[in-house]
Amino acid sequence: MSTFKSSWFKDFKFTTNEQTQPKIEQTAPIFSLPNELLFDIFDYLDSKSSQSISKTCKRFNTLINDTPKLLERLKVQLNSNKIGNDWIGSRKYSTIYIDGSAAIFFFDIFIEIGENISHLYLNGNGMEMKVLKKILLLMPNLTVLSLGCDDEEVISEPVDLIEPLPERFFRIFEFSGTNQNFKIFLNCQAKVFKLTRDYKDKTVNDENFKKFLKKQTKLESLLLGNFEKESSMFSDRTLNEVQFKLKTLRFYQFEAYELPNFKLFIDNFKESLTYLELDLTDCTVLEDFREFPNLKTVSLIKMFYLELEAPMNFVEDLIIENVKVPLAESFPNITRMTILDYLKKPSQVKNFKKLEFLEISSIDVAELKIPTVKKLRFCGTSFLCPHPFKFDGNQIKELMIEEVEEIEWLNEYLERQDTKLKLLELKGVFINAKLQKTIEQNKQKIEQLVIMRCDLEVEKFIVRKDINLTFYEISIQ
Amino acid sequence: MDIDRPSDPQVSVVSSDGTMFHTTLKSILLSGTIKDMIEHIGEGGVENMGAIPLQNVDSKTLEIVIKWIEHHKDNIQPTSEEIKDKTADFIDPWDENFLEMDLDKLYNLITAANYLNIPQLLWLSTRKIAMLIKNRTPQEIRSLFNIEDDWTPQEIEAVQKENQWCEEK
Repeated sequence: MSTFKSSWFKDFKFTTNEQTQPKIEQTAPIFSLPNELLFDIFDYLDSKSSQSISKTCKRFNTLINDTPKLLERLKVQLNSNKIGNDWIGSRKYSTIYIDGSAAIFFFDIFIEIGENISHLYLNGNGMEMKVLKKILLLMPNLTVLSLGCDDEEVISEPVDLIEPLPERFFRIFEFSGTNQNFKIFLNCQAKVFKLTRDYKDKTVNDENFKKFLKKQTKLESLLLGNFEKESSMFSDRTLNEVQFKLKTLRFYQFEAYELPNFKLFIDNFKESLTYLELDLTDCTVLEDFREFPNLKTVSLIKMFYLELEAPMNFVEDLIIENVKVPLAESFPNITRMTILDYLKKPSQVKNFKKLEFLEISSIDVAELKIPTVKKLRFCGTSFLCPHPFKFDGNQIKELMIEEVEEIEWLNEYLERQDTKLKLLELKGVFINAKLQKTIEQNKQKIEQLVIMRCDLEVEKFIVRKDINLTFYEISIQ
Repeated sequence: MDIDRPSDPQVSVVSSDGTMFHTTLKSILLSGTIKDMIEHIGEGGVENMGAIPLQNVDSKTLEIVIKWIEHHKDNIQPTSEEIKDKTADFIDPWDENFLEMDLDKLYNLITAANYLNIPQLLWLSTRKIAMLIKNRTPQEIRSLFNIEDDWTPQEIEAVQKENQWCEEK
């Protein structure tokens, strides 16, 4: 179960272990052809052949599969007024980001490549539902659809006349907009469904959303956002019994939890639920989940008030953002904790007696002494660490640093600490000459070093057999 | 029209390495790039015009290009727009035979056809490479074009998984 919320937390580990592998220089004459001409060649290929050539080497993979390259090419075509169904051949592009108002210009392209598209991210504002439906019909293999359409203009459109899309399954379906616009998706199924209701939608009628949920059989993850108490979502018994078993449930700006029918709705997932995320000021709703045997991960956002009848002993993994209440008493058994914002009193964290894995962003860790923590991950850009770095009371075995601007303190940390680190992971940081030197000098203290998406000041770096080094996507400044 | 003037006057072009080639106006006009140049000086000036320098085409490649344009000088040439609409895959047997050359020559021909703006020749030569790629495995393509395999197995796996890693939640 991933417990990461923001994109920089997404943990795509390549652990390539290319220990001493030098960068391969491609010298074959075909690489002397400029991208424009390579595009011309690839244009003739069917999708199977273009996938074959994309697998031969990194450059061709980028040319064939990278969305920015697609957009770059598209721009050229737009500038030269040549946009049409000829420009892309049958090359396989799987991901499209597009603005709804421009979508109509892409029609010819979608006719050509629609079958290849698996991910569509669409800002549907300014777009008519019938146009959207046509576009979706051109993309029968779509697995991820993210759609935002809360434009008032669209609301006035007579959507009643448009028939729903034929049956479809989306792995991830994200919708923010009005109930009325949702009508075209009534026959669709989803595994992950994120629904953010349009706050301007005053019709207080969520019939289409209800109908959709009632039909779901494969749904595993549900996000509900922007439902006021007045919304009709749980005002009747429609959703008291459903056919799906949720593993993940998330509420954002959700006031309907007080309704008795909502409680009956969540009771459907008593056995299946493992992850709960709440963006609420009030914690009372947590009480309703106390008897859920498999719920281990709880994520709390903007909770200002936390007064529970008894500790939440079942929670093992806690994620918090903007929660300013004592936590240790309420969650005594957590072993892993993620703090997504600045926490004024890091000392609170000390009180977790079983905490082993701590992930923090933007926290003042000067006073942080938690002997139980074995894994520590820093994330985020405004990480504060005043000098001198006091980490002496800790026994960290795995240290992960990601997207942190200021890592000067790491020099001192590496020099001072005497126990061996099982893992040092640097992602998306700038490694200056001094830090490179420090790492080199202290390499006997590091069992495994992972460097990913980093900028290096000095090209020559320890690429030696005496350290287990994973190097990926680095660039030299 | 001046009676003494041949209907298809001689034109000279010079390759990047300094070799001069003689061909005819009709042939050389298949090149959009040269056509634009000539239109600017006006056709009357063609006879007095000196040799046209082609800085981006070497003599070996230019020789091949001239062979092709002379063969096709009387054929109506499709524009690049028409080529893009082309769906039929019919290739003139002469062209098929003409394109039997080693890959290095073919790359140079593509670059030259692009620079000289000869849409039909560019189409033929890029298509030729595409045909070589078609229905081959990545490994076969690598040995054909001498491409170094710069992937690690883990990276391949990661690329394949790329579209699925956001599945959770």
